[in-house]
Amino acid sequence: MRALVIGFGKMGMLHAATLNSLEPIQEVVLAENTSLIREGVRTFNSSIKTYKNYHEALEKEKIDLAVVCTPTHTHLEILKDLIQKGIPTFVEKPLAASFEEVLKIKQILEESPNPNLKIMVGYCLRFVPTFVKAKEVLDKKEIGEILNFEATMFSSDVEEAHEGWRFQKKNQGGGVLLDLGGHLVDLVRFLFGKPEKIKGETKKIYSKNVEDQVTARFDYKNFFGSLDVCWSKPGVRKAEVEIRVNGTKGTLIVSNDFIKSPSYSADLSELAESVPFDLAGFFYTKQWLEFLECIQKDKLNRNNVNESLDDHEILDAIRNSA
Amino acid sequence: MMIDHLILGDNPFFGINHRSQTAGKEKLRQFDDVSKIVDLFQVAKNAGARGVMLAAHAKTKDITKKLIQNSDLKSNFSVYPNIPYLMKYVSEVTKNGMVGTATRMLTSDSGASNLLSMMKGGFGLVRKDFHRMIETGIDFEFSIYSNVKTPAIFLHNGIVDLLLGLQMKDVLLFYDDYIRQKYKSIPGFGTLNFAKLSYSLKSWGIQKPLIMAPFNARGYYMNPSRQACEKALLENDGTLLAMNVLAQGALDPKTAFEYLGKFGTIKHVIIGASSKAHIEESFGLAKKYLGV
Repeated sequence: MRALVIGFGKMGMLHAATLNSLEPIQEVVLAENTSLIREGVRTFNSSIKTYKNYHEALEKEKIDLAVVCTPTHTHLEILKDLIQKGIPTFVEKPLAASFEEVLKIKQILEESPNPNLKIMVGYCLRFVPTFVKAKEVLDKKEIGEILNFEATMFSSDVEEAHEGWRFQKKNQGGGVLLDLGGHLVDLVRFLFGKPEKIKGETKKIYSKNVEDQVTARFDYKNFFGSLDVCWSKPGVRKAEVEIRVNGTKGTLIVSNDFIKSPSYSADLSELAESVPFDLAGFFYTKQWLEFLECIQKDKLNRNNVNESLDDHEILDAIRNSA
Repeated sequence: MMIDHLILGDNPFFGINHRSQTAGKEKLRQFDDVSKIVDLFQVAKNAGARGVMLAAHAKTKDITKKLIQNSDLKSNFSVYPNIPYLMKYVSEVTKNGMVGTATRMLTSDSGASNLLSMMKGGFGLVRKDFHRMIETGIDFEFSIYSNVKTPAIFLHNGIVDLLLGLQMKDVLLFYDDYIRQKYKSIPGFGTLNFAKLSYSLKSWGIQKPLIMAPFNARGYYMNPSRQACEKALLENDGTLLAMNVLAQGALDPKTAFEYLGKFGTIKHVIIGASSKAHIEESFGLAKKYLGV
């Protein structure tokens, strides 16, 4: 397969390097609009083809897989073109900037020549085994009936105002809600389902145009939960996720590092798996292995457009109720 | 020059604990005072260690300043830089993008850099001279270690594996040459993909490379598999600095070092330990089973 990576920033580099090391991929081609980056790639590996934009790449290459790693507000436009061309696509999260945009993507997909085209959204935490185990614990009712939960995700990335696209309101593509918040909302929906009622609040701490912190209350039929996401929390070395669930028979605590329930506890290192190539975390590779298998075997993948629609319904509800 | 056999790891000093971020923060508080860190270096030296790996963290300059105040450590305890401090740059790139981050770093007058280096970086950026940019980046990261002995300088596994994945051998070859020529040190390569890197470096002409990689009886973080890494160890020349040897605490030290010792060729290990008892036990068993 020949893969086209669109956008060669942090995530584009990670995905390009990982894909280039996986069996089904024979070549990785790049589309990147910053000439300095294209020249750097050509200097250090002239065999990697680079293009100024994805249109040029699609004209000149036969592409079997696309990887979209561009700012969120550009996703809808790019997905339209890739879906029309029938190219399976991996999109870095979030899929788009709003529920309306994700709905448009779903409609474009359903009306396209291949409505079963595979699209995966990069909610990589779904491939972290602690969260997979947590779902098993809840489904088996090991902690009994759920009473309430607290879900948090923090980083110390933003300790002053910044100008990049993540800090602009442009088409609502910026802000912590769609950044870290997207991961946490997807995990909460995965573990507990969609809430019936949502009330959110947003807060600017350093940023001028977007929120740096989001809190929300989720009401379900028989329990409730809270969400707290902030990218300006001091002293956090790398992004921390923690979900604490209180049930009638005990408590489950799960993070990106460990899981602890009345009957089971493990660190991520005990659950870690060897993979063909590990860059930045084996769960990124597991994500790719699943998506590549789903494309090759025509199976429905996780983190698909319908799941994203549910995620964005929640994200929009948080924003609209704030 | 060769590297020391027993090297102390630095994770506890910088709040890194791969099992628990809470435990990591606790260690960070425990080692808030750099004197306590340097005291632990002395404990490690007494137990047989002859060096410590130190990431290019903001605290490192204070640690090395304190280290050289101890005459025994200054003469007999080396520092192994692990550059760059990746989490800092990952966060920078998230906020400022790739070009913004490179510009800030290459033209920084942070006090850790000097005027010449800043000019080299700036000119490199303007002329798109990527090799000069890499030199500036290395010099910038290394500047905090200028007052200590550095037998080897390691390139962080995040960078090595990124370059390995993109097959950018020229950068790794350039790094190898630059470290030898400018710093008269051994270039070291960190990786989570020991098998792939070993074979690749060999095919690219880097003779007997120094590679730091996870190697343990459980196969944790040994990619693509423990068996493939063991095969690569047997089939490739070079020096392995084994890390994650206790598999994040899943292995007792005796089992861990018995495993490493059976190969006969593993003579260098890095161990993260933050108490006297743990240091003495781990380094004692390492000496016994590795024959060093």
